[in-house]
Amino acid sequence: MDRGGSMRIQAEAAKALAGWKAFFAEQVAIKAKELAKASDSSGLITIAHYREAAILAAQALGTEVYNTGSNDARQEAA
Amino acid sequence: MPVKKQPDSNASELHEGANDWFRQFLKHLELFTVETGRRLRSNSDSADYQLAAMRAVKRTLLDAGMDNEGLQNLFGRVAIEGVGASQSIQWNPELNKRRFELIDGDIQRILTPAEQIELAGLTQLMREHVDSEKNLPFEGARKLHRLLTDKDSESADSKQ
Repeated sequence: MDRGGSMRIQAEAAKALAGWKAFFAEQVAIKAKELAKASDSSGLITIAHYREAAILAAQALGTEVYNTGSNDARQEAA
Repeated sequence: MPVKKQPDSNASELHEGANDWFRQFLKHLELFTVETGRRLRSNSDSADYQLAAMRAVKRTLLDAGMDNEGLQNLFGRVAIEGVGASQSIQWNPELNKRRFELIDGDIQRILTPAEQIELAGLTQLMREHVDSEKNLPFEGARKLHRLLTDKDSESADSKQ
């Protein structure tokens, strides 16, 4: 595996990213299940459901990212 | 008594329950890797990363409800499998012999840590074999069932 460079990452930032990834994955799973149920796909969740769910989940992720952390952190990043 | 679960026929699909569990596992694993990674230095190498990753795996599994003994058995169980093994190892006389050798070493307290893991893995594999469906006394149970149902029908006939 490729080794990184000399930059350092705040542990809080790494944890936030882990949380966002988990949030996105959770949202995709939930929405894909809803889509599969609605499409009567005999209990099988397909890549088409996941693709559509991922687009919806990406929108929800934007809101989640915006709401995560303090205003100070956002100002610091800016 | 745990019974060995048989794999489903369609290997191209993943069950929702497993997928949900893995997703939760990965979330917690990632959070624990942040924790274990904080202790690494700028001059740490791949071996340090691997150790930190394994510690994170251990903490995640313990956090998921496993105990230390179960964890050791699980690590040992996976360690004795060949790299990239597509199927689980079947219990056989050679493994049984090797387990007895390791038990001897354990009694003499001469086992290396790697051998202790191997012993835990072999013990886990042996338990799975003993508890598997093919070793359950189904034939005896079937005979008993036939005997009881036959008697039941005989007594019903005699009452008529």
